[in-house]
Amino acid sequence: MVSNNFDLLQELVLALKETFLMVSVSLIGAIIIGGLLGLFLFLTSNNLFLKNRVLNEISGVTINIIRSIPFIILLVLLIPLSKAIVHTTIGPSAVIVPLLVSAIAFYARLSEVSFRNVSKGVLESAVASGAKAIDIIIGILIPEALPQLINGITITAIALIGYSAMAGTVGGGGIGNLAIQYGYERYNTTVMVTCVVVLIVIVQALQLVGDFSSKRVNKK
Amino acid sequence: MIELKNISVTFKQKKCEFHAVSNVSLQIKSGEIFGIIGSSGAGKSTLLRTINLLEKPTSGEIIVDNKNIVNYKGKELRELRRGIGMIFQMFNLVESKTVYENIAFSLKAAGKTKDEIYTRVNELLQVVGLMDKAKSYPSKLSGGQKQRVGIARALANNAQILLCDEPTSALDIETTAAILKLLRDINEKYGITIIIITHELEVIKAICNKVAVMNKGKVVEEGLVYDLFTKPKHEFTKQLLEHSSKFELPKELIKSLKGTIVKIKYIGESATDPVLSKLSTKYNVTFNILHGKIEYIRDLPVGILYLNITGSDESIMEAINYLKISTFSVEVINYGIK
Repeated sequence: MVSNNFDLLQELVLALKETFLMVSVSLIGAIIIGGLLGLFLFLTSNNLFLKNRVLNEISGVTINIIRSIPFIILLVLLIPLSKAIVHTTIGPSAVIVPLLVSAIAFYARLSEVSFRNVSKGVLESAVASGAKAIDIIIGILIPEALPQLINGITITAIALIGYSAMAGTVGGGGIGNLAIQYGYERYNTTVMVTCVVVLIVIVQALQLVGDFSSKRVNKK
Repeated sequence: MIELKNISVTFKQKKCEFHAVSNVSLQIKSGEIFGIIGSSGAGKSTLLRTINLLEKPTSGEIIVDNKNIVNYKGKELRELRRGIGMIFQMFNLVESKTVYENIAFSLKAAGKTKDEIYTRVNELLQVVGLMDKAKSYPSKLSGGQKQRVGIARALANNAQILLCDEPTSALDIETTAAILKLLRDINEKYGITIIIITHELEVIKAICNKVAVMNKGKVVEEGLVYDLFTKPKHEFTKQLLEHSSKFELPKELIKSLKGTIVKIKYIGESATDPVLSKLSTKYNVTFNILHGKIEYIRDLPVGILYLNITGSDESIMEAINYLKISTFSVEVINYGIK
């Protein structure tokens, strides 16, 4: 049973903070690095830009390898890397490294698809107008892909919440950790249910905000 | 002037090579409206796209303003492209930008200042008649309006050449006419050379001075539009003309009529001569018009008439001879003489 000095609310707030830290840091990293990687994948596959099969294959295969390793195994595999970067192997900052790696690979693919869905004709007309590639990327490709890029961010954020819960198993902290340690291992249904409800609310809220923003920028 | 010399474009597919364009040579003079017509898959779009190097020809030369542009790259190519506008069948507007921003983009990319862009965009909106749509998004525009934005965008950097890739194929008849009129106005007002690709003869008829007919990657016939319509030489051109202007008498009608049936074609000058009234006064025959039409190809008339002529055998023969002299062609469909 729950010990007397266990304060559910206090633990929940702490867990939420940890989850927020893990998800937000890796999400921002995924958007920037993953987004750029997705852009790179798109540009190297498109003959209007920098078509380069070799570079495209290398980055594509690397991303596939990362994406095919189950997250729980990646978590363990990357412990040495976490240690080297954040000098610790436990707690939320330690699991940020594997979270970041898998989120980057995840979002790279999603953003690549978003860029690919931009009408080729629109890009071609920009090329035909004599604009520089960089102007086309910033002025046309990204704005045209933006609604889908935002949808991708929503999907990545929600996937990250799921991953961060898994990260609880290696001492990552967060809501998932709370649910497993106090709810599952100590048979505390209240904690378990509370954690699940909190997760449901967060996911719903993220989805709502994501859909709203995506619609907002979509002029189609 | 634009000169295409022995242009070939070959696409390498897995096992075979596909010759989209083979050995095409064309000369397009400044200020002309030049049409390229052919059925889909004839290679006309590919040919058009070589002019701004969206498609690099496998071999051949493209001379624009006395310079061979085939090997242009980087900055040189971008500057060339600024002088060659292009419009598309599906308009290809940027959905996330307003009409104003769509037109402004290529100006901004050419390094124009904000003030210059503002003045030029408004000027262009006036030319295409969309002053009130500056802040609209493309999704709120009709097809014709979208193509107008396309035209404004293509001309933004004062292009002297306008490439049109099936510009009216997604539009209805009325809108097509309006867009073609706009293109003609632009051509007349600014002397812009227009190269237009289409599968619709109506488009060629309405605005082109010269035309090339393409079939299976080759130009099979080339010349003045009026000549093409009145005296097609190549078999493919004849077929093309026939398909688009089905103008025949019903077979049942031919069977049921007595007397001689002739099909007269008259072009240019003779189209406006009072040939028919002379026919009945000079040659003791009566005639009945069964079917007929006159159409204008860039203001020059072309007419087709089906006549049913009755009278004595001799006078009918004389009448037909008279028609042969005074019209472009006479085809006797049914001799009514014994």
